[in-house]
This record gives sequence, C-alpha cells and structure tokens, in this order.
Amino acid sequence: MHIPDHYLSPQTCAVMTAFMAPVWAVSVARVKKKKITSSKIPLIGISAAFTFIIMMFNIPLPGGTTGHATGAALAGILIGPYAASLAVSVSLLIQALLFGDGGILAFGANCFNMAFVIPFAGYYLYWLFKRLFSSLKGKEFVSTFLAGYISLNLAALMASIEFGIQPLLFKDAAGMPLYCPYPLQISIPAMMLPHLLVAGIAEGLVTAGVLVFLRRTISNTVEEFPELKLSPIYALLMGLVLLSPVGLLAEGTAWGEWGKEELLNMFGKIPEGIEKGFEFFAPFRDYTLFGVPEVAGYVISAIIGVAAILIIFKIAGFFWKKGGVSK
Amino acid sequence: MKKILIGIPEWLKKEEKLFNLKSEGKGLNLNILEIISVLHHIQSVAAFSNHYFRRINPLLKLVFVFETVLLLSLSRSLFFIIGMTSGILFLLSLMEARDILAILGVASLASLFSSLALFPSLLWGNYHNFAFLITKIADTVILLNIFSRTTRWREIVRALKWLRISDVFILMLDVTQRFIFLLGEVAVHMLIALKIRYYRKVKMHDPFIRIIGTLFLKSKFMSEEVFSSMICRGFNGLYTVKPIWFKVGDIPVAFLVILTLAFFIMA
Repeated sequence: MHIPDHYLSPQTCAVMTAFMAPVWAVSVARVKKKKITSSKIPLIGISAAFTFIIMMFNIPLPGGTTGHATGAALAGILIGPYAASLAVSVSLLIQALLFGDGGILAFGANCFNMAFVIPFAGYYLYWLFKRLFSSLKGKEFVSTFLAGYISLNLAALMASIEFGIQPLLFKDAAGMPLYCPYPLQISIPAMMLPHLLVAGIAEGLVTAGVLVFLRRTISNTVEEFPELKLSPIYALLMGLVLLSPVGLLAEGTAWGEWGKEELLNMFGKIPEGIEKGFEFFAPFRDYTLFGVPEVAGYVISAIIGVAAILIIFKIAGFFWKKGGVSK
Repeated sequence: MKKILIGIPEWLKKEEKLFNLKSEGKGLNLNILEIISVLHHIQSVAAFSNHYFRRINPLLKLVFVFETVLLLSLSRSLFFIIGMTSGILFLLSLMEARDILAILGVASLASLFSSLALFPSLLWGNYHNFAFLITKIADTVILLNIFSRTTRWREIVRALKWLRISDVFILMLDVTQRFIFLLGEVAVHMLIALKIRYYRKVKMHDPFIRIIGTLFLKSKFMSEEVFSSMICRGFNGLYTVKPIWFKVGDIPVAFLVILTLAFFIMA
C-alpha cells in the first residue's frame, strides 16, 4: 500500500498533502487538548514504532504479490485516532526517507490512506461494533478484529482509487497514461481481492491479538491517563524486531509498488511520468544494506527504524514539556 | 558650602563608569551557568535513578564499552559497523529525552570536527573510509556518553579496581573527580561574590585570572589537607573498594558482551 513516487501525478500528490496538512494540525491540537502529558508522548512513539515493525511483516497474497498489516487500527484504538494519525505519519516518513518504502512526493497520499483512513475508521468502527455486540461474550476481540479488517480494506480501496484515476486524468498527446497505467476496473479488484482475502484478516488478527495482550498489561488507553508500565510493550517491540525477517519469506512485490523494470515487463512500456521522474536514493533502500546478508540487513533496518522513531518522539515529548504541557 | 566643596579631593569628583550588569555582566553570568551546569551534570549522574542502564553491573558496562570501542576501531567490515551503529542507536533511544539531546549534540559536534579534519581525504576519493571513520567516531562518542550518563563515578572506580588497574591511577582519577566538584563549587561562590561586589568598570579578564589563581592555591591547600586526613585515617597506598556482586539481571549484558565479540569474529 506504500505508493512509490511518480505512480501518482504531482497534482494528486498535492491534493492529498493539502488534505493531510489540516489533519496533522488538528491532530496536534487535539492531542494537546486531551492533555496527553509529556511522559505519554513516548507511548505515541512506541505506537509509531509498532506500526513501523508490523509493516515489515510481508505476507504472500493471491496473484503472486505481497501485502502487510499496518497496525494503524491498533494504534487508533489504543491511543486515539488523532495521536495515531501523528504516530503513523512519522512512521511513514521514516520509511520513506531512510528505507525508500513509499515515495517522498506520495507521502501525503500514503498518509491519507494509512495515517488517516485506518486510524480514524478503526477507532470509530471499534466503538460502533463494541456497542452493537455489547451482549456478546468475546465482544472485545470481535470488535477489534472487524475494525482492523474493515479499516484496512477501506484504505486499500482509497489507494486503488488513487491509482485508478491516474490513467483517466493524466495522459500524454498519444493518449498513453503518464503515471500509473492501470484504470479503476483493474486497480480496484487487483488491490481489493488480496486485501479482502488475506491482508485484511492479518490486520484484524494483529489488531485484536495485540490489543488483548496489551489489555492484560495496561488497563486503559492513553486518553484516559493511565499509569503505564512500558517494559512489557518494549519487550513485545523487541520480539517483533527479532522476528521481522519472517517478512522476507513472502516473495514478490506488492501491487502498485513495482520498480521500473517490473512495470516494463508487465505493461510493456514505462509511462513517461515514471521514467523521467526524479529518483530519491534512500540510505537503506528496501530494508537492505550493500554487503550485508539480507536477513541481517532486515533486522538492522528494523532496529534503526524503531530507534529513530523512539528518539524523535522522546525529543518531541521533551520540547512538548518545555512548551508548557504538564508533566 | 563652598569651603566644604574645596575640601573634596579631585579623584572623588571624577565621574566613574559603573559596571553595567545587564550588558557587561553577561560573561560573568555565562561562566557561573557553565560551572553550575557541569556540577549539575556530576550530581545528576550521581543521583538515584531507576533507569535500567543505571542498575546494570558497572563492570559489565565498562567491559562492554571498552570492547565495543576497541572492536569498532579495529573493524573494516560494513556489516559489523552498521550492526553496532543500529545497536548503539537503539540503546540511545532508551535514554531519557534530555540525555538523548545532549548526547546527540556532542556526537554531532565530534562528527562535524572529524569531517572537517578528514575532508581532504574526500577529495582523493576515500568515500568509504570517510563514512567508516565518521560512523565509528559518532558511535564511540554516543556509547561513551551513554556510559558516563548512566554510571556513578564511584561505580566506575570499583569497576576499574576489579580490572586490576593500578591503585595510583584509580586514586588520581577518584581524587580528581572529587576536586573538580569541590573546586567548581568554590569557583561558583567566588563568581557570585564578584558579581555582587563589582560596581566599577574593570577589565573582565583581570578578576578571572585572580579567581583561577586563587583556585590553584586553594586546590594546593585542599590536596595537602586531604592527603593528611587520608594518612590520619590509615591510608597506606592501597586503594580498597567494595566488591562488585553480579545479579541475575546482569546476564543479558554478559550475553551482549559475548555476542559483540562473536559478531566481530563472524563479520
């Protein structure tokens, strides 16, 4: 679901970023209003680190492609949609800048899909289902599973629409697509089927499973000001980092995340916008390092990503505190 | 009235430039703040904290730091250097925000100076060596800072003693650290006194030279007094410290020490 650069037109990217700008502003304001104290900011960082790690677990999808859960619905339920929106945005930024996962220009679009649609849909669906299934014994598990499942599929639908409208809106003089060459009738089923069948279920299971684990260690959410014990969460995070190479078992590229050669093989021609667009060289492109074994490179990338996210949020928490928010 | 005025000496009638605290006292304020911040750093490290790193066995920490610095300097393997960098970054991410900022500041400064020194090598095309060295320097500075910020001085001394470091060397280190703190306090007192009592415009370097001179004299008297008191308390040249006990919680760190060595050999 990480849209690379030049698969969306600059206009589309600009619109998506323009949409996300007020979302980020409102999220910061709401997080402040909820009086999330400086000591809780690291928990938002941990949520961001969680989403980063969970997105590294690629799973094989029907059709030879791969996909992944995002953990964004879990973050939305756990720390609230506004804080989760900020957490996932930072996670996506680290992925784009350090690992080349998702484009720089397409950052706004990726944030819209994964840092806006999933946390907000996940959060509100969770509360809706919790009310609907109030009499059910396993209401917590069912509600979180459904919230995760539906929110990820909503995001996949959004991404497929963003891909699909490109050949309709942006063509060269010969009528050839400038950016993503696949129209809506291909992009929607190509993205939705694997997500409905596999990736959505993975998201639902991750959301429900991790939430049940966290409910055992922490009783409330950040918004309810709990006295949190972070050590079990750190332990879970470390465990996920060490398990991250499991994500390498799934071979193939996610739909819409192809390189130029793959696109040439599939479509027969590289659209002009993709061929001539600038290329950003991330230092740890595709979570690999030159001269380092693939598995080790994946683990090292996971550690660097998690550390970078935690450091960013700890520093943000420090300045947050300095800015007058109570401890 | 006129007669009285005639009696006033000439020097008293001269208009004097008064010492302006707002504009001219800045240097003084900065010096006081700098010394206080150093003293605060020493005290804050010594202060009780529940941070996991501060509870780790100091000997294991010291061994890990020595080992990592040595292996990093020896290594030519990108795998090892990047692997250790990721680990050190992870350790840094577990520190408190204030410490992270301070450590990153020091590491950036060290990297910047090293980059300037190594810049000519870039012109000769030594890109890899340049990147290797800068990464190694940043790693080492970050690790040493994490160690210094999470280890009490007396624990370092105990760890050094356990490593069979010479008593004279340990004594010098220990006494130096204590004197830095004591003399720092004396310096702050003198600077505050200077700030309160100075009303005339003077050359700023003059009082500072006097303070430094006074500190030197004080340190001489204090060292003599300390040595005399040590002799009185039965000091015979041997430096004894409390033994270090290993706990179950130290096992992961011991494992990390072995793992680092194994990683170096494999990479």
